[in-house]
Amino acid sequence: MKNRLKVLRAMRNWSQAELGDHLDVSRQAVNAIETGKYDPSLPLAFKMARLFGLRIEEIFDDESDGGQHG
Amino acid sequence: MTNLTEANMADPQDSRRRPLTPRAKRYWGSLIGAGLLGAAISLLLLPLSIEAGHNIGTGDGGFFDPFENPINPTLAVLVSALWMAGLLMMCLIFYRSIDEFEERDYLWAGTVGWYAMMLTIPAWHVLWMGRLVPPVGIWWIFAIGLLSNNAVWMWRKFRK
Amino acid sequence: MLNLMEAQMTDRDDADNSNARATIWIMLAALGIVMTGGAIAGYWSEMRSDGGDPLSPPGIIALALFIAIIGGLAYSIWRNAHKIKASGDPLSRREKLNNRILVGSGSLGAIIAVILSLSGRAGDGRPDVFSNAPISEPVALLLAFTVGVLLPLVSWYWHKKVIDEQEEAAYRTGTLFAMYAFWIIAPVWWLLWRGGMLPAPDGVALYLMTTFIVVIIWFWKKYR
Repeated sequence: MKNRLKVLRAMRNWSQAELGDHLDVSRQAVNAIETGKYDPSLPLAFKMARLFGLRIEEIFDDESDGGQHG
Repeated sequence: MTNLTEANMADPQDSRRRPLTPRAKRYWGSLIGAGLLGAAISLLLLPLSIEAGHNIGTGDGGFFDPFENPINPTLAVLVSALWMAGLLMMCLIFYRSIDEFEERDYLWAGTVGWYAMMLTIPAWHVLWMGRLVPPVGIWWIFAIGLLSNNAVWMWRKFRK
Repeated sequence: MLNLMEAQMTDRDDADNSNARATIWIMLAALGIVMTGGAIAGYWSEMRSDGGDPLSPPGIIALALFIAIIGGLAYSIWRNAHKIKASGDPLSRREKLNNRILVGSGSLGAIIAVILSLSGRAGDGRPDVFSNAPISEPVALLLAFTVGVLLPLVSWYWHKKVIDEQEEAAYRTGTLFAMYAFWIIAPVWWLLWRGGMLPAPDGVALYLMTTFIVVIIWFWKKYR
């Protein structure tokens, strides 16, 4: 699933490991989510949304509506 | 308000039996198919084992061990191919018919089944090396894995 | 705007997937050292049982070759460890704990292998980790307790407190495939043994085979 996690992380100048610490996951998990190889669970997606002060659909794009959220 | 609505809500489909959807038919078909495959192979091997037991024996009935007696090599290859192809086919049908919820349950069941087998083998093996128990029996390991896997899968699937 | 930002972004840990490669090399090199050590022990006892002198000129050349292999593998470990360190890839708290537990479990496995090697002897009396020779009852009970009681407790803690959901998913996929592999391989091996084509099925060989499958899939799904 496409997402803006990498951009949001860069805006805070965090490394993947630092974001991993904020979310209590490993750096590999952050990398897998950013590259779209792993879709996070709902609790983790909500945690991300809270961390960045956004709604889940502002971070993730399921591409089913032609990317209208973008 | 939410609780009230939720409490008043009655799912009309709860009270009557629904016909099986194509997905459910594939699902149960793959499970029953896998069971029938195992049963067919057992039924095929059993009389051959008895016959082999008679042949090995000394004429007064021989010995019979369905897990040990030799069988025809060609038959061994054929049954092996049947087992591999059958199991792979059932797996493909099964995985095409399950949803993400069941897939998650089955992954959990797989992990527990694997742990059950992989913790039993070394513990059993070292106890055998101490000559405290008989050697590791792979069919016992197979059964331990299958039972623990099915127990977890059924518990997660049917718990309410 | 978003795409522009993404294109311009240089991330110090974007290229660090290569650390997975370095880690795999370290693991393979460590395995290689253990196996070469076993080969030296085997070679030494073979020479002695044949009445030869392991320290004769050909023996010294063979030993030097083995030692050179170990040296090369050790250098590979040092180099790859250095590469990981130099990449500046920081680890999150969870990963540090995870690494400590994995290294601890690996060390425990190595200790068990050493105990088995020293307790079990092959036919010619040399240490053999795969020997099926009897071991003393207390050692057997101690090892069974370690594998049957301590290891499940560590595994439980590892699943509950250490790994995150992405690693959990990777591990679960690995174990499911490994279980299927066991269910396919074990009966086929058993059938081919009964057909007189293979030696009797061996539980420990099946254990090693399926564990290898778990490690490969888990690692691939975690780091790809």
